[in-house]
Amino acid sequence: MKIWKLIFGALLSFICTLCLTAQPMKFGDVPIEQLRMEIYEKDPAASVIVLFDIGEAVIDENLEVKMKRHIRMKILADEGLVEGDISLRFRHVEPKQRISKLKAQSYQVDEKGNIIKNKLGRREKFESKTTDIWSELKFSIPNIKKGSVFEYEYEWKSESIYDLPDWYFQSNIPVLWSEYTMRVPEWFTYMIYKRSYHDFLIEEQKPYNDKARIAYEETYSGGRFHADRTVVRTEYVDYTGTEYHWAIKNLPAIKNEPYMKAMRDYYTQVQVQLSSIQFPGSLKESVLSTWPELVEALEDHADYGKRIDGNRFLKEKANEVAKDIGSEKEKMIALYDHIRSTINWNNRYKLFPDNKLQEVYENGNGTGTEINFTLIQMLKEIGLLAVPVIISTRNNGELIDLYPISSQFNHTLVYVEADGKSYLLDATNKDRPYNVLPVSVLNVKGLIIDGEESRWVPIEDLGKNRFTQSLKIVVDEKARISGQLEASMSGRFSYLFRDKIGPKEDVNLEKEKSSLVEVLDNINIDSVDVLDTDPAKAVKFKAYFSSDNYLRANQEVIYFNPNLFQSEFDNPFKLKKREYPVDYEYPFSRSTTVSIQIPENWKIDEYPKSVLHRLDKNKGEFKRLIQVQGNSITILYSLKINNTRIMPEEYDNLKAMYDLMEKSSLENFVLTKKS
Amino acid sequence: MKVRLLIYFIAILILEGCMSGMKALEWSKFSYNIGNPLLLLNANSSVRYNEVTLDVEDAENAIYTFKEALTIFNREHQEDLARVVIWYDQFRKVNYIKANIIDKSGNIIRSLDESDAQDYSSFGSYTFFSDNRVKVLDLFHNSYPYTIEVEYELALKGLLNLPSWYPKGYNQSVEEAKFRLIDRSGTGVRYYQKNFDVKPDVKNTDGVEIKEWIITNSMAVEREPYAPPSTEILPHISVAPGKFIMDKSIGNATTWESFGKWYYELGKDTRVLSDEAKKEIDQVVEGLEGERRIVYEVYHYLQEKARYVSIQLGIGGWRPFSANYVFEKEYGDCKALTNYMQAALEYLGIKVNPVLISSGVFNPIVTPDFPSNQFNHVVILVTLESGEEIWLECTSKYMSPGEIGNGNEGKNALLVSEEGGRLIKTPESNAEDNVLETTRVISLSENGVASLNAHSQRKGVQRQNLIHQLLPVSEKQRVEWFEENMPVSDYLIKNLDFSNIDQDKNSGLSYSLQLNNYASTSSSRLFVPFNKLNNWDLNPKEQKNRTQGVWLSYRFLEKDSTVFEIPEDFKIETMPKGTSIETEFGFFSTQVSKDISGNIIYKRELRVTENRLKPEQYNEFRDFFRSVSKADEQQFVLVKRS
Repeated sequence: MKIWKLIFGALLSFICTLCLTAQPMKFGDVPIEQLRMEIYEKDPAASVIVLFDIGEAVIDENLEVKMKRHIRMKILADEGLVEGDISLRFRHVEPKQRISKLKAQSYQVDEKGNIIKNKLGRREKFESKTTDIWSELKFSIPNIKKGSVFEYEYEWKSESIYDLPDWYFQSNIPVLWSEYTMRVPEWFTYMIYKRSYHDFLIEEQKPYNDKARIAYEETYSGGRFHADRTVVRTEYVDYTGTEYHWAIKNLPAIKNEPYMKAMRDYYTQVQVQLSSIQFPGSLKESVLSTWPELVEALEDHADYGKRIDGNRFLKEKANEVAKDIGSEKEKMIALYDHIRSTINWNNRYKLFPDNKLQEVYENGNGTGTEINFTLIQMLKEIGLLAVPVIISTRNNGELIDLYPISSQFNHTLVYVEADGKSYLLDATNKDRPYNVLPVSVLNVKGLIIDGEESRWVPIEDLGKNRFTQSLKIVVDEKARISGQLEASMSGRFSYLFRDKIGPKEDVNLEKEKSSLVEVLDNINIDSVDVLDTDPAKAVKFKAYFSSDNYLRANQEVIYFNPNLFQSEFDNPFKLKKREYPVDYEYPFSRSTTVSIQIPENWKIDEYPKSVLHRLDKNKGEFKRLIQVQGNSITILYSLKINNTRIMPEEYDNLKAMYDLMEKSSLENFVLTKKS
Repeated sequence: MKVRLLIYFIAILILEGCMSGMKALEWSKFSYNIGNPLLLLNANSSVRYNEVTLDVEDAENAIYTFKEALTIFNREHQEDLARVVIWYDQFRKVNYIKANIIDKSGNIIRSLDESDAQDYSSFGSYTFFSDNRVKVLDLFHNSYPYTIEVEYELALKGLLNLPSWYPKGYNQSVEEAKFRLIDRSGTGVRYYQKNFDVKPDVKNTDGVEIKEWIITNSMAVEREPYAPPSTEILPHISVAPGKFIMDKSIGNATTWESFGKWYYELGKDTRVLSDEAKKEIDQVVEGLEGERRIVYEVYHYLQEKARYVSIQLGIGGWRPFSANYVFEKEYGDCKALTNYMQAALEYLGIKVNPVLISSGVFNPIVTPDFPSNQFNHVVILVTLESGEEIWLECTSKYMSPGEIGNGNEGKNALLVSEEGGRLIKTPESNAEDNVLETTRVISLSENGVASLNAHSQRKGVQRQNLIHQLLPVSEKQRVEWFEENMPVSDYLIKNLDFSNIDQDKNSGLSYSLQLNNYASTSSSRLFVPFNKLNNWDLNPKEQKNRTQGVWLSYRFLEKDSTVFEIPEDFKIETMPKGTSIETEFGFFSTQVSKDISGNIIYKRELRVTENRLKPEQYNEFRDFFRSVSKADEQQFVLVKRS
């Protein structure tokens, strides 16, 4: 049974290969259907599509990496014209990369049905060094407009076998056909990581024979009177290699929508990483380490582990800050607070620090790792256990377990134990308390670098992110309102709030008062008291307000919408359909309790119904409960998101929940005077 | 060219306005002790000493030296100013950079030089390719206040653009700042000073003219919301060459005439059309009668044919690609596309002039009595034999002939002809030119659901904004645009018609929706907002002592007219009255009435007739728009007949 299935599978892929290779993909050979095409049926929103993208990478006879790439695109709307401005990156320092044999051409049909071709001219390309390491080759495809097809082809070379390219089959525009071939001699082993939400049409490996030039040293004994002589010789050696071949068709575009993670996490892709080298007659040399080896290498690395090496200056500073502080936890918080207020984050994530920690401290400026290393150093100086945790930030993409390589990581957090409990810290933002990690680092897990004790640790939001408000409103006989608002924010909300009330060191609360509360147009904020500003606990404030004309009234009837502070009911989900999961970053709950007292000689004529909307699997809920007793009204609004990932098939229900929330925020109470 | 100059302006702002360095003497002077407390007011940093010298040797060469000591008071300005960015390219070479970081007691903590700087290629995301580069030096320190000193020298070769002097930026006070302009070239270097009135001290020896300005004890200025660009507010001196050499091209900027002549000569030989090009143009105009028709068709032909790609090379980005290049490759920047259009029309015997312009609503105003390169863009003015003028913006694939675009309106601009340049003013649109007019029929049912039939017409800038978003994209993306811009979210689309958006000069958009949630309900009432679908959302904050004017993007007129059909067994319980507000810069009114069939008719008009307001008009401006917002929130209430 099993065997039959296998054979059947093989046959199928064979047939597909046949029918697909029947499509002309030769440079310059553009079928008229591609030119006549006006809309891409599978994605009518597309303004440009990739007809095919084909890469062939080989390790050539000089043991250099070479890739031929040929890509053809079709423009369906003017917006797609920018895809004709092309930029190719290469490294201009050792080991060098080079781009050559560039050809590009565009095609369109004239009224008579003739195909008009236009070539990229020899001089129509520009090269510039963008950084100390990387250069760009740029060119604009000539004569393209809506309806055009264009293609380009080039050869990219690298001196380093570490540079065997990864391949992204998918992109932010639809790809009809993407194909990658890789030829690797038997002497090199690459670990291959594949990620796809779609089925490959071709996925095969087969042997091939070729030869390559290997250089080796021969040493001749010089005998008694001469020194030994070493000669480098090169020789062609036959080998059997492996050819890898993947192809996939009709990949949808991946678009950036609100609440999404790093785009490249969603792309169908193949990543390759050199793991070992073994030449004929030599021992196998491991290039890619194991996880324990990686940990050890990082700890011993002069530019990583060895950076945390004890420093008198930082020790003195640490002692100064922690002096007279009792518990370990309080010391930890004091040092954390000291670092975040002293060192400015330069908005860069980079695994390896560039500067010495003392310099980072003195400059008051550093990368994420530099800042957290300084914190680790200082925590250690006062005797706490503090070690690095290496992570990949959300924008850097998810970690691939298969590859124990440091280039996957781009940031370091702090793992610390104090009073028998463990904490993860990240001191990169000046207003964020120790118990809240920035959203950008919440990306599944991190690796604690601690010798034998090294281990994976989940990096997730554990804090309670709560925003609660309580509103007391009194309506007087002249339909004026007055009342007080008490708000309390914990977890991430407290930090966001701190962020809002001021970048300045000394927050001028008087000045910031009006921005503390989102104010409706005809409500006056009479005064604001900030009760607690320590974002590590909860930020609390109290506001007193009044309004003469908030209530919409005619002589006998008063209409009353109790949502004085509306903005939190905005609906972020406007599109009718969602292609990707909604990723909330962190769970939260917001609730508001409103109590309203109306005058004795009025009565409550009408009031809205209580409503409740729950998402499946308890992922979240919205409710509004209303209770009326005599002349007092109590309302509870509550929005909770418990699970941060809402799948596309749950989107309609999520949107319905927000629609309901928006709707109920607009409903009114009707009050009438008793006769 | 467009973006290159933009970057040039930014470069100047950062070089002179914000960043700071200092003279290499008497470090201790710049410890924290700022004697004058007024200099701390609203200041995040203070220029302790600034000395900038521009020494023009001849028509091609100048040396620019910049020295500054700047005390940074807080983290906010550290983020802005402690990163020193020096722009350079083939016309500006960095001779040296020196910098020190000095703590509050006056000790030098760190000294840096050019080798500590990072070096990048630098052009904004607007530009596809240019040869601008930057050197970046980080001068950070962790304890405030601290002082950074920067000194550098640039060798300028090619003097089309000379650096300006900005002694201060926003939230920055000045203790002492000097600008020295040395002219030993005898080529007629000129200056223009703005937003301050210190007179220069002038010395003249052996044909070398030295002018020096000194500013002392100047207080910090804060940027106010909706303010004009900083060039209208902060003190600065612009410098311009007389005779100049730029990349072997010789020009003279002494008069607008001579500057325009230089630009004309630069492009003169690039407008020769090949026989093929001529043939193609002949085909376009074949059988067409009348000059206006011909201009329109040739413009449409260019819009179809070529696309805008910003590539800035040669003479500081000023030499246009030839007309034939555009003909063959079908792309180009503003100069290249304009050049092709000019060549085509001239070939057809039509009078056409390129017009240099400082494009962008918030870009600096071109100073009329200071001939110099103050431009970043070029458009075309066609003059027909009848005397009729037609403006053409050649970088837009969608604009109608005659439209100049919001960013090019009401500008001082340089009309270029064989005889030279002449400063003119580009046309400016009024409220009546930029109209968004919407009519709606909203038919309400008892449960708050409404069916809507709407049609809107857009003219002028309102239309241009729409078509530049919708014409380049597919039909499905247009629907998504509609969804994203609808102020409500719970509705069904019954019909959405984009087929008239491309109509010349007047875009139409029609749609029918079922709004599930238009009116909110209670058991016996319907609460119906008048203007939920076009709610005004600009709510300027209150400000005491406004000192800066207000700039709005454009003048406009919004007209809404809505018929509400109400359910039969409901009657009106509460109906707000109309409003009317009239100010010097705007007019707003709403009217509510009933027609014979019992429908409620709501009419609204918002007219902004002036988009440049004086500081003293700020409060009126604020009150006006807050009243509009408030009126837009009004609702009427219906109650069931009992």
